[in-house]
Amino acid sequence: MSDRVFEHAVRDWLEDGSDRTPRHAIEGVLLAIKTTPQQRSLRIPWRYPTMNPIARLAAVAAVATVAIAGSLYLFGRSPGNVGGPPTPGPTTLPTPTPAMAGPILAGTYAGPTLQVADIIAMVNTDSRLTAADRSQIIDVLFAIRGKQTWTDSLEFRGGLLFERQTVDGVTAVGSSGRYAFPDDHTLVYTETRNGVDLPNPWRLDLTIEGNTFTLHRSAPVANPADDFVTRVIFESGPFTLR
Amino acid sequence: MDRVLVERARSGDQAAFADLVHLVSDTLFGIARRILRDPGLAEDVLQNALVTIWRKLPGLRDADRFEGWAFRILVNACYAAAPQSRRWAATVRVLPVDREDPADDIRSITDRDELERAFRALPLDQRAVFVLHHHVGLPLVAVAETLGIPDGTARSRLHYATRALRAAFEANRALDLAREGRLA
Repeated sequence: MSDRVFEHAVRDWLEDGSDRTPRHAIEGVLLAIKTTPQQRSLRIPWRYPTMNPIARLAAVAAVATVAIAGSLYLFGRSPGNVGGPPTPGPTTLPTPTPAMAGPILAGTYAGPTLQVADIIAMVNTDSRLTAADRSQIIDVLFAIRGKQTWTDSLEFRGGLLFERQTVDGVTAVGSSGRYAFPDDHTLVYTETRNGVDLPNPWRLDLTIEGNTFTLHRSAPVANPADDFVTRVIFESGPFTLR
Repeated sequence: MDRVLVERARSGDQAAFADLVHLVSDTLFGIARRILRDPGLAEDVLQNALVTIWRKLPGLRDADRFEGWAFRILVNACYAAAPQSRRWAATVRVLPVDREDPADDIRSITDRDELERAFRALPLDQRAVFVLHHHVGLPLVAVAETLGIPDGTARSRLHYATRALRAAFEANRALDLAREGRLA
């Protein structure tokens, strides 16, 4: 029995199945941490219980240096220095430049709050969707059954895009990945999962008005469920800078 | 891992922690699912581990070590779920498969069944080393550091786990060959 045959069989068996975390499990955790305090340590961090002789000598030397320098400053000034050095005149601090993400400011842009009842009505009247599609959208992809409100937001930060969905006040990341603006009218969003780029990046038409923008998918999506979900996520704008 | 995100979450930023959960949850779920061999139990363990990570995050000194630290919390959560899983695993029986069909896909299925059965019989600490090494891809030294055990212990756990799986696999293949020989 060769090692390769065994290793191949083990790899096949071990990598079988999906690692996608159920959305409701994540929502449960995010709800739990709202009422779960973090454990704050009261002891001073990085304080060594014992010092080695070299560290102790270095500490003594540092204290002595500070003491000598302070003495010289306080008692060694000449009479001509009374009052200290002249105070510099008022200066204008440079205004920090807002970070840009392509043609828009970096930051979080929120879409309008939608009523879940309206989304479900849209799902139920979309004739292209099967019963299984409808259940998947309502119960899994958006997880909105029995909920009231839904809002989408997009955060652009350091080349990364986080798409979050807030359902009845609980926010969870729907997807994340890298973004690029090939020009001022196009956003390309490459979704990543487990650090791996997913194929077929989203190409979206971008219309900017001040601190607000709208998105439209450049091409239709073949799968009806994916088409519905991405239409709601990307085209429910305008997205406004928070 | 995004160091800034870890530091924000460590200082109590719930939104940053939500982003962090999004980045690590699939990896953690994959590890728990493989160690426990039960997606439902793995989901519970993942939730417990993530809440523990949130509570203990201020005690993490070096944000760059977040991933290994999170792995250790997860594996400990798997160990904590062990009494239930051990009782559950003992009742599992591999479904009978018609072994008279010599096709490769059937052989593959029986291989998986035997590997699954042998893996379920392993102690959780051996399963954890095996999964962190073969699925996550950590070198044995990193596995030992993650689990807080000596290198030699990690090596011996991997050895015993691999030996058990190989024995089950080879026995299954030998059985298949014997059946094929009888049919020929």
